[in-house]
Amino acid sequence: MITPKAKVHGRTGRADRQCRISRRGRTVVAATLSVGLVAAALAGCAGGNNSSSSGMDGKTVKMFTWVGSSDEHAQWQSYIDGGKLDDPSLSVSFSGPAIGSYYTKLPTELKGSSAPCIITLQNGQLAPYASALVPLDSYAKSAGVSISSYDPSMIKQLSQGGKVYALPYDAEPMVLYYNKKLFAAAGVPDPSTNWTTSDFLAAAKATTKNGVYGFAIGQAIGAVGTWMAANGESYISNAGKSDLSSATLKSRFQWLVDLATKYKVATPLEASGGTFPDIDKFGSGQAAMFLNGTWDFLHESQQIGKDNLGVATIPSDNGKPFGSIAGTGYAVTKTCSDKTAAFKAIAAMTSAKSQQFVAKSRSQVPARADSLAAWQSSVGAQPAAVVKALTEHSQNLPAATNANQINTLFTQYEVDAFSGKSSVSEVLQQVAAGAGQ
Amino acid sequence: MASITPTGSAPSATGALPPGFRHRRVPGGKSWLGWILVAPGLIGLVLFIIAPLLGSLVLGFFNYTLLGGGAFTGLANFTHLFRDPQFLNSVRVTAIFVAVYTPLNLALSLAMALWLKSWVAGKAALRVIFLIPALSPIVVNAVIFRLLLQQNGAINETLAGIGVSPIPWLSDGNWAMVAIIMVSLWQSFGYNMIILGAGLDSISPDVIAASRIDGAGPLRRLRSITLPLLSPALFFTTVLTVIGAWQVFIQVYIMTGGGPGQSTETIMMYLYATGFTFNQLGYASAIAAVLFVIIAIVTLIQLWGQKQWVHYD
Amino acid sequence: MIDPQAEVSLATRRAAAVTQPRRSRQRRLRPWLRALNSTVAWCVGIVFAFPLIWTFFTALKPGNEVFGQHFSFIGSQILWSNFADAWNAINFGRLLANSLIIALISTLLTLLVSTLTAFAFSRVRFRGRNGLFVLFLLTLTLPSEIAIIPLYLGFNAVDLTDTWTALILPGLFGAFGTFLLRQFMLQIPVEFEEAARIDGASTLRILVSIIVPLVRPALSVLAIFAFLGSWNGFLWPLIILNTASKWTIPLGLAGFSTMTGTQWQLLMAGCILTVAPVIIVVAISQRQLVAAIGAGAFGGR
Repeated sequence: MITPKAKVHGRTGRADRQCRISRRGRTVVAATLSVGLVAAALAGCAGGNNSSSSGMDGKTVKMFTWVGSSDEHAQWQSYIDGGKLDDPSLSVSFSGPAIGSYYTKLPTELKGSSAPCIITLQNGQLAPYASALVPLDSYAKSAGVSISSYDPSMIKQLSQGGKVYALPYDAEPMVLYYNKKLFAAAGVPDPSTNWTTSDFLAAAKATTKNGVYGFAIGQAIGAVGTWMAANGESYISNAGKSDLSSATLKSRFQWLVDLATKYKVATPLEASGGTFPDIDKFGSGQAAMFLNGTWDFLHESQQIGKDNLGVATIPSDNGKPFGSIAGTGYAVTKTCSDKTAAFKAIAAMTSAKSQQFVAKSRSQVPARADSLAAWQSSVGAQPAAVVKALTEHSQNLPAATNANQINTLFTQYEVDAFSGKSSVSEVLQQVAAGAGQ
Repeated sequence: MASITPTGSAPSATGALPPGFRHRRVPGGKSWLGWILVAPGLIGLVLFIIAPLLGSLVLGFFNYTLLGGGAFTGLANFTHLFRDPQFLNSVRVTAIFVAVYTPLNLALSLAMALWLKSWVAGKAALRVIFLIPALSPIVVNAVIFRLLLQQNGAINETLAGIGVSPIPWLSDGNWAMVAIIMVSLWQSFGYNMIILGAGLDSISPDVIAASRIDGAGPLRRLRSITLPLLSPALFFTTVLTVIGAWQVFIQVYIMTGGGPGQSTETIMMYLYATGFTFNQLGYASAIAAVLFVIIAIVTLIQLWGQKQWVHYD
Repeated sequence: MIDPQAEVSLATRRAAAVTQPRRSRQRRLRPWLRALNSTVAWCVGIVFAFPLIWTFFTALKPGNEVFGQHFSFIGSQILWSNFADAWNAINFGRLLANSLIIALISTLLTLLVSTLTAFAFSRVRFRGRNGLFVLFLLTLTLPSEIAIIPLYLGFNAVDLTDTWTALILPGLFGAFGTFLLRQFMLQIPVEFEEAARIDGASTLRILVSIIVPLVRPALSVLAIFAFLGSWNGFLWPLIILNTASKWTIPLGLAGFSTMTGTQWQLLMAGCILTVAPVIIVVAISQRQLVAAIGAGAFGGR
């Protein structure tokens, strides 16, 4: 690394000899560098070779999904156990990274030699990966599985070009969770299914005291999108393009920022590395309300107690409840060597028997109307009524094709809006610029 | 990567031999034996170190994604890079980090190394305390500070206890940079302290004694004797600290993700986002190539500058 | 090494230029100054250790008290069970086993490769040796994080993503180990080797029986650095490993946030579980570690 000043030690001429490179040595260096260059070029250019892979382990179907913690592990296992109730010969194994890096890893996983037969996709994430998946309509027909028994809005979101690519296992509307104890202590009545934004603001103001805030704001553009969806608004076109200059997007985003800066019913968002501050705040009793999907019901009831957990519709300006449904589906990959077996597996895991089993044990809203009763019996009447109101009036939210990128950028830049460094329009412009729109 | 050139450590390069060693030809012209022995190391070096670095350069001339193949784009990536405000911002952010973190790191390490040369009870235990963050994974340190620096976290609570209003560590751009620097210092300062301590130990006590006899005060001693004699160690520590600082990533990834806004988006953070969130591997490789050039230039400047202030024997 | 006589005269010349009056200085500090010095140093030490101390106490709190309104070290309960819960939640046992196995393999292979290469550079004459050595030297300053994308694509092209092979291989060939060992090997007098050769020993025998035992200090330095490099590595494992069951500890901790939020008290417990072995090892081998780090910096000087 360092060639010292060529001090010649009086005793030896070794330093001299060391610093001079013989001609042969120079040839060696040149040869090595050129070999390196060729290897680099080969490595860089090669790639995208689809090795034939099986995705099967004997009779066991391999699934790639997000398994970051033991909790997620238990969830997948329960779907497999439920699937076994429908098809006792079901055999599925699963592995994968944490949810935070799942979509980043998915492309390489799909192209590698260990490509799975089944992957999981949340609604709205289908577009970039559809080319690696098989359409399921023909498999459903030959297996006698009726696509119409699944929640239509989920099916729509897991389809492309009229073809279904994934079978959904849940259809969870976004709801507003509230802390019943904090509401009671502030004298706020339980929200009705028709409550309005002004009711919400009043409740938030009343419950903001003693270091507790009325509301916990979530990160990423989804947090704004949910409020928009509750009012029947959307910033995403049917073709999947996000309009980041949409006036409604701007005003809803501004409203969210105002909750923290103007009305002071929520703490402003900080920079983060992939954690969910709103979930943390609500679960630790520091916020009285927050938004999340019904998949979080089990976790929240464990955190603040089942009797303490209240579920409400997301308030709209005019009080009419309007739901946005989110969920996940199982898809079959093109590289799967036994696609029929894979389809059988996902059909079993999303069958009525399986969905009822999981709905009872994990309180996830199933994607089948015939299994809703099981879910209702596990969560109680009030949440069930809320979910009913929301699913009766729900809209099919198109998903942005570059959702991942927009979310990353938005999360990064929105902090400036909360600290007052940038305006809401400036933040949206920066996001648009970063996403190349 | 499990590279074993930890920040702050570097072997001496003089190849100096102990006095009295007479150079002799090692008997036997076993050329083939030499090549066989060197083969594994050489192949590995070429395959895993040299080739990828060159590959970064090569890839920069392509558009490449993980889902589809690539297309040759010539210099497009590089020209776009120099007009990309986000990239230029990341260079600025990283440069500020390096410029603030390096002198602070060296000053603190040196100060502590000097302090621990004086009489302190339980010196060994103190060294253990300072070394622990250096030998733990950076992820652990970043996660710990992530929790401490929340708006209502422990550090703000402590400050409130002494009457200071809470600092927006993670919601203000400037404070976020301070937070990153803080974690980085906490992480690596113990290691450099040990190295500089070893350097101090290698200074002959006779020299110090002699200068004392001649009446030099402690500051004078520090400036004229200790620092010059310590300069090789300081130099190595500086060079490697700077190289590491230009590549800062993990703390940013865990604590801020580059935010708020772009205030902590370093070059490596932008590279990671471009390559793995936005799936533009060609552009990310161009970033890598430019970062390599920046580091090479900075290192060369330091190497050239060593003649001015580094005293070799 | 420093030539004491030359430096003393240098010091004298410099000191003479200073027109300070001679002061008779007390060579040793008075006891109360010593105590003050130690106390202040320890205050600094405790402030420095505060994050770790706080982490330990947070790990013992119930989950919904991590962000309490009141600043307290101890929550309403002391939950030693959090450590067990963290162990299970992030499968810490598997992470620990993975990290250990990977680090041990990395260390052994690094030692092997570096020893062979260093031996060749220091003890065996072959054509092109000098040029090759300069190549090795040049790579010492190369930043390693930059090479990740081509490395990743390369392994992808041969279908080795998400394998420990791909994880371990790139880290074995840093020139630092070769350089360090070569320094030490050069200092072994040739006479030993010549004597062994006269007795008929082959080159390999010389390497194994004579050279290696004599460079043991350098080998342990290298082993420590290699082990730590592997144990703490994050970026490359993050990129190359997909499956959670293959993760190392840093990945497991970073990936702990799930769709249902982060259980900070468990994450802090996980951090303590990670740092505890480091504390124990450092405390026990403090002297050797300090010597090793210093030796690593000065390479046999």
